[in-house]
Amino acid sequence: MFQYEKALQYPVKIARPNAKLAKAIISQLGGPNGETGAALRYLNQRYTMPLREVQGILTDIGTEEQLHRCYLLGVKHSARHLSVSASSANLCGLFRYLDRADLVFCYNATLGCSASAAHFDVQRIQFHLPVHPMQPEMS
Amino acid sequence: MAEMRLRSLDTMEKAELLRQVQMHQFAMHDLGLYLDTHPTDETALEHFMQHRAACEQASEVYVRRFGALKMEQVGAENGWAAWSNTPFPWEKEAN
Repeated sequence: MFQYEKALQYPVKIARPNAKLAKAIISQLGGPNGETGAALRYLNQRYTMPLREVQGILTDIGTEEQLHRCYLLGVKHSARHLSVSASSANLCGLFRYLDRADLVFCYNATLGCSASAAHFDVQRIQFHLPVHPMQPEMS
Repeated sequence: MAEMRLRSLDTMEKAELLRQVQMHQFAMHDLGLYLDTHPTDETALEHFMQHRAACEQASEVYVRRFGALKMEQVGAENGWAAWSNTPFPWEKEAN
């Protein structure tokens, strides 16, 4: 189902490292509005989606979110070069965050809020279609 | 026209050529999302096909000149290390 390519759709190149911005970007990985949650939700919603073309869309956009995760992880990887000796309050905060493996999925790098599995949970999609094209015949 | 494009692909630098592949992939993906809900839109399908052809051409030249982008493109002539020892996108050398 999934293959990988050894290239991104667009390169991650950090021209001017910015700890404050990095913190905001990295916060998009976990949490209720993060890319990880989005990817998992879309890819799980496929199974209760009764319309096949929308199953396709969910697969497409779920896959796309995985790419977005790769961008964020690329940014995080670049941020490891940011030196504490440049010593702004922001840089220290970022490093406190980066040093903690348990906060990889943190959604608020400033407060140190970890993501929880509840953020990745999937609500069953309810559809109210009068006649369903893929609904099995009731006998 | 196709020959001209092929010749220019052959003179492009690595990053520029990869950008061509990425650009056409992005366009294909976006058109694909649109076509998911508009499967009979022939103009969109035509655009998709144009980007697909250009993408295939660019990635064929890229793989020939700079090595595989995915495992199935690995050729015996370059050896396995040409695939496994090239940098991943998060490494500086890849950008």
